[in-house]
Amino acid sequence: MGIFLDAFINVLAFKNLAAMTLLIPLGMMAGALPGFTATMAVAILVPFTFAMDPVMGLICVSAVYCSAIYGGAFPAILINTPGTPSSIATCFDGYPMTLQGRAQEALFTIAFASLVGGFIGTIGLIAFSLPLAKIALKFGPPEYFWVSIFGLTIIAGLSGDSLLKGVAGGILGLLISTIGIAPVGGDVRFTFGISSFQGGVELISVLIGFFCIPEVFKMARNPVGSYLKNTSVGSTVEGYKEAIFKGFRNAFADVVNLIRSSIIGLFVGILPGAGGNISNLIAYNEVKRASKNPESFGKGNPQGIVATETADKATIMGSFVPLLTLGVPGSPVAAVVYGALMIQGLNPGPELFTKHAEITYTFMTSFFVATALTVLIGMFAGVLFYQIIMRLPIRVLVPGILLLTIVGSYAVRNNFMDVIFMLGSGYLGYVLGKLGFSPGPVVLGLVLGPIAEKGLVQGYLMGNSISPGMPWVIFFTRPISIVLIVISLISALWPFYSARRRRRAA
Amino acid sequence: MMLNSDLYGGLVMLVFAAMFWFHIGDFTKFGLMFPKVIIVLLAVTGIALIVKSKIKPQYVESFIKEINKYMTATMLWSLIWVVSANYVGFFVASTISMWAIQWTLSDERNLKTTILSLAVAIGSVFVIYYVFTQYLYIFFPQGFLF
Amino acid sequence: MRRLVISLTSILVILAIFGTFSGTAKAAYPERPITYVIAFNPGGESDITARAQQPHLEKILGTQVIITYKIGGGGAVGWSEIVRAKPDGYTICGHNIPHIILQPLQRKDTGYKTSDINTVCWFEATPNMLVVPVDSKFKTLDDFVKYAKEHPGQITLGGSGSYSANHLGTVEFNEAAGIDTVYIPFTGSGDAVPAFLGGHVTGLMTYTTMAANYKDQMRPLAVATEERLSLFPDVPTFKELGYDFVEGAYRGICVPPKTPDEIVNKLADAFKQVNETPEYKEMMESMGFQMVFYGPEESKKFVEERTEYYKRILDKLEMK
Repeated sequence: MGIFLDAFINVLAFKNLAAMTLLIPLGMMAGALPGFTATMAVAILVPFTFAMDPVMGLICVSAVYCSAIYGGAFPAILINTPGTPSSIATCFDGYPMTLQGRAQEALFTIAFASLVGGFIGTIGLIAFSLPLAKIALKFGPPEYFWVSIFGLTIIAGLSGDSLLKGVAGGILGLLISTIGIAPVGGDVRFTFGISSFQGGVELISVLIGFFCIPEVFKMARNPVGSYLKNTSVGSTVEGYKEAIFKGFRNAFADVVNLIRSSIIGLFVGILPGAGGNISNLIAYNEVKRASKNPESFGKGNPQGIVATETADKATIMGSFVPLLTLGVPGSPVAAVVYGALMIQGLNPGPELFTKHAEITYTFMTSFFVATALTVLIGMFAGVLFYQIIMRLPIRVLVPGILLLTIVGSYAVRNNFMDVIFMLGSGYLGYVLGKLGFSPGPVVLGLVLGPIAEKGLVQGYLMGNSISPGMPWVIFFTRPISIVLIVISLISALWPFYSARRRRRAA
Repeated sequence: MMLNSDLYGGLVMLVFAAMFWFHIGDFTKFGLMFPKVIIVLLAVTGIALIVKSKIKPQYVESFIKEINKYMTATMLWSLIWVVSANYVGFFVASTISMWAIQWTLSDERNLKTTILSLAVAIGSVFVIYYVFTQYLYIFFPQGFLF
Repeated sequence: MRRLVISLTSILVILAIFGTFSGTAKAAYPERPITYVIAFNPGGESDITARAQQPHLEKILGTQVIITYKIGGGGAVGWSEIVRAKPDGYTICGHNIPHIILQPLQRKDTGYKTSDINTVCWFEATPNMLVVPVDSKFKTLDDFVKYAKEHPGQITLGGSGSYSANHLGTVEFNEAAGIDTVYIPFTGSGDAVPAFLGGHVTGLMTYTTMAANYKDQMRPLAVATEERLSLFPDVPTFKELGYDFVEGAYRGICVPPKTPDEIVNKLADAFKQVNETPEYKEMMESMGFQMVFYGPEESKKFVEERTEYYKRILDKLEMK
């Protein structure tokens, strides 16, 4: 226990608090810019940390990471565009709340939800790192394949009116994910003669295209007046005091949801290769599945954003578990931190808990402080953001958002092809949206595609060497795989079961 | 006018499936395994949607009517913006496009609003350009202007 | 309105003239910041190296060095950009052997040719190393080869990417030892580590950096170099055990084609000086990097040599 007290005192040193307070607004801005991800924010920060002592450097990393993920929710709620892939599902209920004039309520709801998610995630990181990492190691290629299949079963929850269209969208997403170099075999696939497609399709540019661009087009349709006037027609806009109260009530109305979403977030974060882009979608689907009236989701049910924002905060801490315990960078941000640790002369891995225990525990406890400060600053930032966006006249807002989407989709990989692809998927997203296809399943397919493919082909190679001639056996014989298959089956059949139950009740 | 959304949706899926199918090249077994299954699945769901469009179609209101002159202008200008940025340079293309979109979306067009929107365009592009190149080290396409 | 247009045009013209003149004015290189492009993810070997070089380079060249990323396609996206960049020496890019040789040989739309790439120098190597878990029953390479001969096709070796040094190394080892191990590619050397630690692959054909970093979990069986490495004095080379191959990845710097010779030489000299800085050398070696240096002329010859060599074994590489 003593080591934690020391760690806390370390974190609370004035210079650390000052650095965090300075960095959090910047991280939030980065996260709120669609296209500017938490990874990029941390990568830009890292060179500056070389001049600091390792403890302060790591504290700065946790502040920037937490705040960037937090900032990603602002545009999701206000303009239906996830600022980072961790806030994809926040759009589903956050934006309808804005359209009902409840934007401020939503912004305060996510503040309280984030506080809980961040705290539970940090407790998980500190208390259960080692056992959790051991479980994560049991996941080999066949298990990753089934994880992605389980992920795909939640399409039903993201489909909107038509399940068939949701499935089609999901498969389209999977197909788009195969553009680029094959993970096994090294083939160049579906580049259509464009050499920069060798790098594959960037999730961010599709995300912006499918979510943001159609919204901007719709906004341009009626360019008179300000955004506020256009979004909350016929409903009253509450003051922020009332919004704080409602937000607090929303966040704590369903404690089970808070805990379930945090655990989902933490565990998905621990799996190397899976991150906030998946955990927020799963948490959203689970809260919808558990709810007595799933129809209310997608129409401004605050529990939806509580689930997503709790989960993606807990994922932050989870993603550091493999790095700190095993020295394995399991997420892009962890990879950046891995590089920074190497240059600082700290060897990531078990040594961190023995030789450099003080630094490690300080880093882990810093997430408590980073979360609390982020939420505090985030409340003000959210209201400020809201005020600015709502006051701008539509004719300025439309080109302004377009500018940010162009800059954002370019900045991810310094590649202008991504911008062209972003706009292209914007047109496609607009048409598909009008035809009743939701963007959720497409993005889900795009996120899960690489995981599914790698798991499938690597598992095939493994299977072929274990049982020659019968490469597929391995997918059905390993214990964790069997558990995952059962869970996937239940999850896939659930919509039919619940529809029948409801019909019977009615 | 109402659109049979299942029919058009199914057709879009089939077009994608065909586009990828005909670009299958000389892939290794491992590179082909996954995409082949996915293309077939996409084609099957596309056909399923078309079948459904005959049995139990879902109609949506035509969105062609929804696209008014403001929307068309925004759609076109954003295309010009993105395509021209690589040739004339990000700064110039963005400033002109931002200005043009503001101009087309304004209800009153006089010298004052024109200058004001030009100022907004130059101002916001400059801020972005400056912050990104000076502090974030992200350099935009130069084109033949800048 | 008209006045506005006129004034705007004149501003543009002035700026354009200004730009042209400042471009042609000859001054001592470098007079402004140099952009150092990394074609791989932040946190990887190339990024770690660049970050470690950065402060030394800035001191030696007397200008700021900015690290940016151009990621994708196993480096190909970044390299297809660098061969089209302005040859003024202000954009330099990290590049690797065997990637720049194998990609154009194997792919259709690579976006660059090996001969387009203007190598300034090769400054480090990460040789291949065969590792198994510390609790593995394979204590020596002989145990490993013996088991592999009795159980063909049943040993799996993880590594980083297809058509990479790890992949080639596995194929060359199979060939030299007359065994049949299965190579499973992962996306990046770090990505293979969880599969290794979880026991999902028998071992890894990986880089020395990995073995240095995970020294408590990995037991190196052999290293694919000419001579033993100072960091691993007890690890034999494949050569001394009778398997005649040397394989690994080399990292270096390239500039756009037609960059003036004096700039290339100045850069090569700077990187050489960095390599000779004791604290840099010590740090990199402790991380498992091998310090080598090939100047501009030697580099060209080296690439040609390796190209000939790889062309010979490429058809054996085809994944079955």
